[in-house]
Amino acid sequence: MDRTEDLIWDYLERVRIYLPIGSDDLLREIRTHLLEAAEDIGRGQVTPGAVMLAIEQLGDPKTVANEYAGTGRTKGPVPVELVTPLVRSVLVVAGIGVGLITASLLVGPAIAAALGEAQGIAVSVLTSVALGLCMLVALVIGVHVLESKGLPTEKTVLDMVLDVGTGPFQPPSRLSASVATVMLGIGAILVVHPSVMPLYSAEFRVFVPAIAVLLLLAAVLSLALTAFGENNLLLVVNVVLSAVWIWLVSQLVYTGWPTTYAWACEDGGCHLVSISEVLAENPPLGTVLDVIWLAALFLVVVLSVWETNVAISKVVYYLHIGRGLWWTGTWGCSWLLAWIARRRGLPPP
Amino acid sequence: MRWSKEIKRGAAELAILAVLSQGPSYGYEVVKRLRQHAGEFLALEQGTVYPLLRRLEGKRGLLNSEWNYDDPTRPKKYYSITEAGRHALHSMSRLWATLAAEMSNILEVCTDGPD
Repeated sequence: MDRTEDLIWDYLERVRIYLPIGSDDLLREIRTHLLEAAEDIGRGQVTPGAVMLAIEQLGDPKTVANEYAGTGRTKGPVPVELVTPLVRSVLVVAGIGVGLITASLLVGPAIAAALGEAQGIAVSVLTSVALGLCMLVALVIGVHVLESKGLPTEKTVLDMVLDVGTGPFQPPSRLSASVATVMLGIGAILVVHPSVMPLYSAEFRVFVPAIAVLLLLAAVLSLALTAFGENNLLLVVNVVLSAVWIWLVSQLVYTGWPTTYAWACEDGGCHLVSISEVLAENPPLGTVLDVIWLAALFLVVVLSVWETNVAISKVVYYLHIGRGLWWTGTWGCSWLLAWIARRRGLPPP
Repeated sequence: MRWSKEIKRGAAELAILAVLSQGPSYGYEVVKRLRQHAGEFLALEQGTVYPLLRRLEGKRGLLNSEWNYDDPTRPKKYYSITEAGRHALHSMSRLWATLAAEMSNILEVCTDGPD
């Protein structure tokens, strides 16, 4: 790979951390600026030395991002260039925390009952999240104060800390949205497939159509994201779907392990085997299956709350920058396409 | 000096509109043309030019922009002045000329005054 491209991409990676959502066009503009400036410095040649000089002229990534995004306002004690990435990182930690708390409240008692112990999961999670947030803010401000100056293309400790918030708040790429469409579509078909339906317990079977419909709607949403990109309407739909998932989990908590039969294949033929018979011979296995099921539900709640938090934050941000309900063309950059572009000396896709 | 920064900020918009009234340009070209035509005081840095380009394009609608991918390794965002931009340039130029003339008069009278 070209050394000059490496230097520019590493620098742009640092600038990206401090830019708001959907600023990829700014990165393309900065990249072209650097190449042209380096060409002028190198008298027609874009050499690594000329690129480094052009980068030095452009300046510190934090300042550049702040200038280019044009915020330019101070916000309390936090340096203005840190506001965007710090808010994102706090939202990430808070989002995970709220997800864990909600899941603990919904699924925690059932897990406690299954294990025959434990209480106050929500309280301990809440304490951990609050401590985590305080540590994050203290760490960011501390590192900012102590930060040593390196090359402009080298990520600092502060960059690495704040990079936590960069990924989740980027719009989904077309590639990831199309993969999600296929996976969710397959999931929707599988849960109602004639060979799977006989396996469900009577308690769980009641919810199967709802699960299939939710998976199908999620697939349609991913298809819309692939075709039109992210916008406020699709984000709101995502919030509604996530809320329905959370409600569904609150009902599924009481069904227990969802299957009572399993397929067993031998001598070239397959037949149904009752799981209850296996469990009768091995009682601890029942507890293990219940805990696995509850852990899966716990994860669904955490992810759904997380999705809700991220979607609401994005809607607030998009409204703040004057976007309405519907627009097209906001896709993120998939890591695969970014890697290919970097290898070929192209700008960020 | 805060006062000179404020003057510079006000003049920068006018300078960018004037440069783009000559024809569409991309960011780096605008920076270079400003450096060519302006002296030390108004030689605007990229950190001033790009945000201004975005602001003039965005809410104020004085500029349009379009990506040019003729060289796919160096896509360029070309900014061009809109009809509203031309009107703004016209009235800003007149205001600037009036201000400059009136300030010259004041300074001439006051600095060559009684003493």
